[in-house]
Amino acid sequence: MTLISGDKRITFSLAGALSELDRLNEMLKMVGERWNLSEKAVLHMNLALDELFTNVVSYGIDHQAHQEVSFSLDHCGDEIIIVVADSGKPFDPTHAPEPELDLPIDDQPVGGLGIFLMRQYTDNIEYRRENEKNIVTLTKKI
Amino acid sequence: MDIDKTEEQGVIILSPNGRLDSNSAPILEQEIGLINASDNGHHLLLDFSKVEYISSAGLRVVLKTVKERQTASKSFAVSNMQDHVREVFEISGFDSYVTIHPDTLKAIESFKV
Repeated sequence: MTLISGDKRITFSLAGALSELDRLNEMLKMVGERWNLSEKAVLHMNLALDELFTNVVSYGIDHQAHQEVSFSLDHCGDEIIIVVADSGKPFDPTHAPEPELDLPIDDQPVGGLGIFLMRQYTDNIEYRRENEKNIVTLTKKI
Repeated sequence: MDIDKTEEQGVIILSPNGRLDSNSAPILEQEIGLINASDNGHHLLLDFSKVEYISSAGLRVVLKTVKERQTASKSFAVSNMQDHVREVFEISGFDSYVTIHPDTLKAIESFKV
């Protein structure tokens, strides 16, 4: 994990392993303290980034190649803009199907809620594929 | 993730401690699997009092448990959710699948009905 930190921009990267979720939590707590964000805003960002990172690590990246996932957070007025990049297989979370939350329990698939929660806890999500990388930009109003 | 396991009035109470995410959820899933496999008529209560965070991976374990317990005609409930965890439950519509009790006593009482 590396960390570069300025007044308005904080960047770090995590190894492609789910055990890194604890570090994600630590990093976001630090971001929250530095930018004086509410506990709720930090929790919401944590959940959104957790779900994206879990998807990327579970399905996207090449574990043999020890690929990392990079995070860049910018504090712009009343918004935090977060750019998450990885070199894994193309994956566009903005085109993932919506779960059907009102299904009876027997028809409810186990799983598939991660991207839904990511959408719920952010205000905008954009995806682009650039230089063999997935680049997801999330906006969180604070 | 540490998981405390106690038994009270015929109810097995599982109390996971910490963050329930994709890294830790398999530990809880395994523990519940062991209880389901060896259970002899106990009720199962998942006590969330020490869970400060839940992601979809944690929700998945809860849904799987609800389904497995229903199929086997075994009872299951959850209790003591912190606000944020409860919010994630409700946003995902999970409060319609499983009863969320405010505290352990009420959960134990509900099994007796």
